[in-house]
Amino acid sequence: MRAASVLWPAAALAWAGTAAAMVFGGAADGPRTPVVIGFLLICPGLSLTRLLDIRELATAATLTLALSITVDTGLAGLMLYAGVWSPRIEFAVLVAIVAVATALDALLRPHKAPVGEVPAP
Amino acid sequence: MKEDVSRSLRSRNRGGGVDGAAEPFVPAAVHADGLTTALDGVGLAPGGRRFDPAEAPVRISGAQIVGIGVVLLVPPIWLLSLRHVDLTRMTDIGLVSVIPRTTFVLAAVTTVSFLVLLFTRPASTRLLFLHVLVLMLVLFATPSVVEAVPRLGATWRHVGIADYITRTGRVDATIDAYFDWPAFFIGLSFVTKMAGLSNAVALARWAPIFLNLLYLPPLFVLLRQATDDRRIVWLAVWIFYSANWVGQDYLSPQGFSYFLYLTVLALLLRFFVDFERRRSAADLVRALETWTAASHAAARRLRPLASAFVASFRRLPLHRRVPWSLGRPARAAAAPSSSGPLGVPLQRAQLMAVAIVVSAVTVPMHQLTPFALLIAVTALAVLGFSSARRLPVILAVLILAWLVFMASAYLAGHFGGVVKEVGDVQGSLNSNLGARIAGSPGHLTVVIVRLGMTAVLWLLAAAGLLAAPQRGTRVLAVLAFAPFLLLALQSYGGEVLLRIYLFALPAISFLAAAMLVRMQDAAGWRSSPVLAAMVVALVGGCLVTRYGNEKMDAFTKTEVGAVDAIYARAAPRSLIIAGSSNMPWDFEDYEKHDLLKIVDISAWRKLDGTEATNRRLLVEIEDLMRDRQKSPSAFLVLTRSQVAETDLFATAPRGSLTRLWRAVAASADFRAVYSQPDAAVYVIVPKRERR
Repeated sequence: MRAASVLWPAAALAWAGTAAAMVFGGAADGPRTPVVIGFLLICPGLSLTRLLDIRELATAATLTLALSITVDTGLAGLMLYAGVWSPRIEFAVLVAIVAVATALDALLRPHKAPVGEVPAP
Repeated sequence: MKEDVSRSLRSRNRGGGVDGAAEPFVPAAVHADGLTTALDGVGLAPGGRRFDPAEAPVRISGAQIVGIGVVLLVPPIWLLSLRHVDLTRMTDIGLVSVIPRTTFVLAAVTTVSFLVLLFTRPASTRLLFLHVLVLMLVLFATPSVVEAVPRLGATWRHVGIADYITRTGRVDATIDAYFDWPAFFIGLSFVTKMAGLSNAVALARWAPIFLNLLYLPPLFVLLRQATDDRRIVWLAVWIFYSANWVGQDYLSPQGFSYFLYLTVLALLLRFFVDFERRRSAADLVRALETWTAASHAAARRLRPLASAFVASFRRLPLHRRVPWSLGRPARAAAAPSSSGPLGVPLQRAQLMAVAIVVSAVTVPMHQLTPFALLIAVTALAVLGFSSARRLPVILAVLILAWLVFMASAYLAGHFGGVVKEVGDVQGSLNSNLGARIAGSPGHLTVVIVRLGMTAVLWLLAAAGLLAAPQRGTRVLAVLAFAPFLLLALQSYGGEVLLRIYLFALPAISFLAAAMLVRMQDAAGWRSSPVLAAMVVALVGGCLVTRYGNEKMDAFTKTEVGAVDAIYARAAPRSLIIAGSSNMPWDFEDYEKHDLLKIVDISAWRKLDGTEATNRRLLVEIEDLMRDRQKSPSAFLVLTRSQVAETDLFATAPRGSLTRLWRAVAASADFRAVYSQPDAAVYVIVPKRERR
C-alpha cells in the first residue's frame, strides 16, 4: 500500500474533524476562517475525486476544487429551497460525506486493479 | 571520453519536452563508436541501456539559477515597492498613474525570466509554475495590497445579498434579478457563516488572486490536451493571465461560474474529445445527423439517466458495463495520459456525471455562463469533436427549466426586452462598442489600449490558427469562435463583447501562443527580442487595461464610513440619494433602502457647466429629500468614487458632481452628518429650523 493512499484519507478526516470541532465548538475567529474555508474548498471534492481514481495531478486538482464548490453550493441551494436552511446541518452533512467517501475509498482501493491492468470490457 | 559522456547527458536533458524528467524518452541513435549521440531526445545511456534520469547528475542551468532568484526576490521587492503608493494622486488612466515603476520592471523581469526558462531546455515545470504564481501576484494582488478596502461597487452588493440570505434564510425574487440566480450567494452565505465571519467583506479583498489560482488547474488541463508542446501550454497560460483585463474575477457569480465553465471544458477535452480524427464536409453532415438523432434519443433517456448516475457510484466490478451509453469513448481520451482505465464505461459514466453536475450548478449561479457553456458543448458535439452528445441536451433542459420555474419573476418583468434583443446583433454591437468608446481623454486612452491589445491577441490567434497547427487547433478554434453566438442572444447591458472575449480567452491564448512559439522556432534567436517585447508589453498593458477604471473602482475607508453612517441612522425604506451607485453600498440591509442616483435625475442631463443648471439640480435634490411622504428619512451621500465615475464617463461636463458637492456643503438647506475629504453624508434641514 502506498503511503499516499493512507495519507490523503487520514489528512481529509483530520481536517474534517478539526473544522467540525471549530464550528460546533463555537470557535470565534482566528484560525477558524482558513481551516473551515480550506475544508470546504478541498475535502468534499478530494474525497469524491479519489473514488474516481484520477491519477493526474492537474485533473485531480481540477475535479477536487470543482466538486467541492459544486457540492457546497448545490447542497446549500437544495436545503434553502427545501425550506430547511441550516448552515450547521449542511456542514455536518459535508463532514459525513467526507467521512463516508473516505471510508469507501479506504475499503475499495486495495481491491482495485493497478492502472493499465484492467480487463477490457 | 569523459567529456563526450558528459556532453551526451547534457544533450539528453535537452530533449523530451519542457520537463525532461517527466517526459518519455524517444529511441536513441547510437554512433558507430558506441557512444550515444548528442541529439535531442536521446533515450539510451552509454552502452545502450535505458537512460534513467535519476542517475543523471543534478544540473542547474544559469537560466534556472536566475529563475530561482526571480521567484525568491520579486515578491518581497514588489511588496516593498507598494508601501508608499498614494491613491489620491491617481489620474484617469487608473492605477498605473500611481504605482511605482518598480512594479513594471518586476513584471518585465519575471516575464523575461519565464521566457528564457521556457525556451531553454530542460525547463523546470516547477519553476515555470512558480513564475506564473509571481505573475498572478503582481497582476492581481496589487490592488489588494495598496487599497484599504475591497474594490468595485458590485463586490459590496454581492456581500449584501449573501448577508440578506444569512439573516432571513430565504431568497426573495421580488427584490431584484440577483435572487433569480442565487446559487453563488447561497454558497457565500454558507461559507461566511461557517467561517465565523460577520460578512464576506474579508473574503472579497483577496478574491481576485484566489479565483485566478482556481482557474489554473482546469486551464492547464484544457490546454495540455491540445498539444504535446509544453512551451505552447505554458506560454498560453502566461498570455491568458496577462490578457485577462476584463476583471470579472472578483467576489461574483461570474467569477466562480467561469471556473466551472473551464472545468467542464477541461473534462470534455480531456476525456470526451477526439483530437486525432480528420474531418471532411461529409463527416460534419454525418456528425450533425448523428447529434440530432442522439438529441431525440436523449430526451427519451432522461429517466434512466438518474438511475445510471446512482448506479455509476456503486462500486461495481470495473469491467461491467453500465446499462446505457454516454457516448462512444474518445480515442484520444486514453492517449495522452497516465490516469487510468478511461476506456472503461463505468469511469466515463462517472466523469460524465461529474460534468453534468458541475454544469448544472452553473445554471442557478449566473445568467450568461450556462448559455456560453451550452454553446461551447453544443458546438463541439455538433461538429463531431465531442462524444458527449447528450450533455448539450441535458444542459439545455436544465437552463429552460430554471428559466421557466425558478426565474419566472425575472422573465415576467423582462420578457419583452429579452425577446427583443434576440437576433439584434447590430444593437448589441452598438451598445457594446459605440457606447463604450467615450469618456474623458485619460479614459479614452485606456479604452484604446484595451481595444488594441484585444485586436493584437485576436490577430495572433488567427495567425496561429492558420500557420501553427497543433493537435487541438481545430477544437480550440471552435471554442474561440463559439462564444460569438452570444452576440445574437442579447447585449447583456452592453457587456456581452467583454464576456465573449473572456469565454474565448483560453482558446485564443492557446492559438496566439502556438503562433509565437512557431515564430521563435522558425526565426531562432533573432525573433527572441520581438517575442520578449510582445509578451512584456502584454503584461505591462494588463496593468493599464485591467486597472484603467481604478480611480472609480477603488474605495477608501472613509467612503465605507459614510455608508456605515447612513446604516446607523436610516430607518427602513429611507430614501438614499447618491451621485451614482458607484460606492461601497448595499453590504448591509440590502432590501431595506431605496437608492436614487443623481445621474438619473432629469436635471443632471441638462447640466452644461453653468451655475444656473447646477442650482436647478440642487433644488430638485432638495425637493426630493423634503418629500417625506415617500420616505421616512432621506440622505444625500457624495463620495470621491462617484465623482471619479461621472468624470471618467463624462455623462456631464467634467467636475459637475464636484460643483454640486460644493454647493451642497455651502447650502443652509443641508446639514452634514458625516464629513470627510473622500465622502460626506447630508440630511435636509427642516424649514422651521432654518428660520
